[in-house]
Amino acid sequence: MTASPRRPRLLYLAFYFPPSRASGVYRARATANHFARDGWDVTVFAAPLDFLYDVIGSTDEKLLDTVDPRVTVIRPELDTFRWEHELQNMSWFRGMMPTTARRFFEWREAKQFPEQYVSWARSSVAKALKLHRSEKFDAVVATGNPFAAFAAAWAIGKLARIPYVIDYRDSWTLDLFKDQPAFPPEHPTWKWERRVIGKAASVVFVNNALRDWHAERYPEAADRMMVVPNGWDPDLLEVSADPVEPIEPQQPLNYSYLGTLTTHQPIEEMAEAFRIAREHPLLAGAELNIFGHLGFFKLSHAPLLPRLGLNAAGQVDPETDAGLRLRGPVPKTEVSSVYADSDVLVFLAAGGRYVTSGKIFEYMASGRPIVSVHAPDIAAREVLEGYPLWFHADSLDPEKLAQSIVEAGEAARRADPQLREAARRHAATFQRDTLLAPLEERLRSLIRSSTVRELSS
Amino acid sequence: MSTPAGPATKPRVVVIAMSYKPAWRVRSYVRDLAEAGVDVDLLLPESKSTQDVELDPRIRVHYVFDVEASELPIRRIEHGLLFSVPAKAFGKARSLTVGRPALKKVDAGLALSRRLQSRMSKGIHRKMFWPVFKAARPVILSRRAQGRAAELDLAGADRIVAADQPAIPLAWRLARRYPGVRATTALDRKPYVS
Repeated sequence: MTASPRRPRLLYLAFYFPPSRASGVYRARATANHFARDGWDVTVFAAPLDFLYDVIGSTDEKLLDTVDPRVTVIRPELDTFRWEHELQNMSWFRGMMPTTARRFFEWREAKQFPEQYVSWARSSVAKALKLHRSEKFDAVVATGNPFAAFAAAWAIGKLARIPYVIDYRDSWTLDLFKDQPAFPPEHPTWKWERRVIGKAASVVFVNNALRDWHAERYPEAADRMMVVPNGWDPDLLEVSADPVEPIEPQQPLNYSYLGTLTTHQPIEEMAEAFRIAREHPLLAGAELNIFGHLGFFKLSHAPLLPRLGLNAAGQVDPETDAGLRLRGPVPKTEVSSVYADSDVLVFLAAGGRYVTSGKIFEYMASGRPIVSVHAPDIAAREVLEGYPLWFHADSLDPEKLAQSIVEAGEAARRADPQLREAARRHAATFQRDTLLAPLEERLRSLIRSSTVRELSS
Repeated sequence: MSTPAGPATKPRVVVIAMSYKPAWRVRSYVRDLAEAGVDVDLLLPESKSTQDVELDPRIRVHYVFDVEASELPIRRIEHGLLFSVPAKAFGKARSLTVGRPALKKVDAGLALSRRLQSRMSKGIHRKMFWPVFKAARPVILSRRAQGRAAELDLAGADRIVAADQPAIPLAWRLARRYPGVRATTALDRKPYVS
């Protein structure tokens, strides 16, 4: 065994980290766990807990237990000025001169970085440099959003002279729902993006479409760009290898959608298509169960309910009933049972050619028929191609969608064991650890061999 | 004006809105609370600019002033110096010149000066006085409205809500005086509206 002076030390800037239940948290959790398992000493900088509990209000306590105990989580301070509503907590300056205080705050933030999480990035840099002085970090990985994490990684990399990698878990300067730049040309965001990409040791994207879009804009960094798709986490999803029993003709089919519903998704098209499909005898009594939160924030459910054909209390209105049922959120650690109880999974997604969506990997892992409800040129196609139980209309026309819903139902009733096996084999290639391995190798190749020698087992 | 508060068991919210007209979101907030059975006291800056605002009759509305412009000394002084005194002076002067052919040119000069003065006064009011007053107004109101607010039995309220930016200094002062009452800028219906 080769002696090693110490484990390579990674600083991972992941604002959304358990117990947050933000959609990007699973990639961050898996990345930290993967590096810890591969022998890295991982320190994660995450959002303060009071921000997650009091401001965002979307947490999943059970997720905390799934973080590798070797991972150190530190929560640098975030200035909650813009989210502070309690007058008792406000200073004299803010209480007596609210307009001046707000303008001063906004001016101070804007001159540092064009994003509201800049104070967290600032405290992250200070904290990182303090920790680096006592024990050196070997590399920094930052995941966005928030993209202030990229700026922090750039600053830490520059001041501590260590390589940094930025992970575009989400899109920054590209509007995924309009397929066009998200900021006007003179916006300071462009200067920042050029700066952080320019000095990054590696730039990571979730799909090829996003990589190509950025490579076209920053050709000098194209050779440092790589794709790490989202994948699925076997430790969070119990996948049964048992063959699925055919469904009795008299038994109603159970369709499911798992995930957070958002305003950008083609919800009306899905509801209308399901209503039409239910008229087919194969779908008699079928229900489309929606498991998940309605929107990301405390009050975002209200505008979504009527779009689902439900009343303000989330109950079914008999006159507009399209067979949709709200089942509420499911902890990530319990989604396996939802997949097991579903006959068909509905892949409802917003956006177009640059959107992959994280949940499609779990959908595939379940080995169930998947019916697509999204724009036809979505980037998720590149992972769904080859999945033998994928049913897609290549259109958002409710009639055509209804047809694929029926076809998926037929496949569920047949439950062909060979097809199911082929589906699971396809999904196995998207296990998160498999997908993260190239990133870990890349980081290992970047760190200074003089300070850290290869760990061997 | 004020009517006695309802039964003690009902939740009670004091909403402070110091913009000249309460915004739609404020009106909808107090209406939703009233419909949910909450005892709502709404404190507005003046009755003059808000008398045509339609509010749920269950909401008890209180005012700091009848007419802010005439009850605040700084506004009275500013109006006097820029508008009333020059108007009176020019009026008196022109009463001596109007209709006298010998003073025709003097009268024309006075009329022109009056127009110039009027334009200048409006400019000073809009460009100089108003921006400064607008910035200082929340603080001035926070002093002037404390007596009115004290009549609202704030110690017995569940929460004090500063519904707009100019209401913050007054609500902030009240938050200090009544630390046991939750004081917030959030128009949060959740605790009261199902």
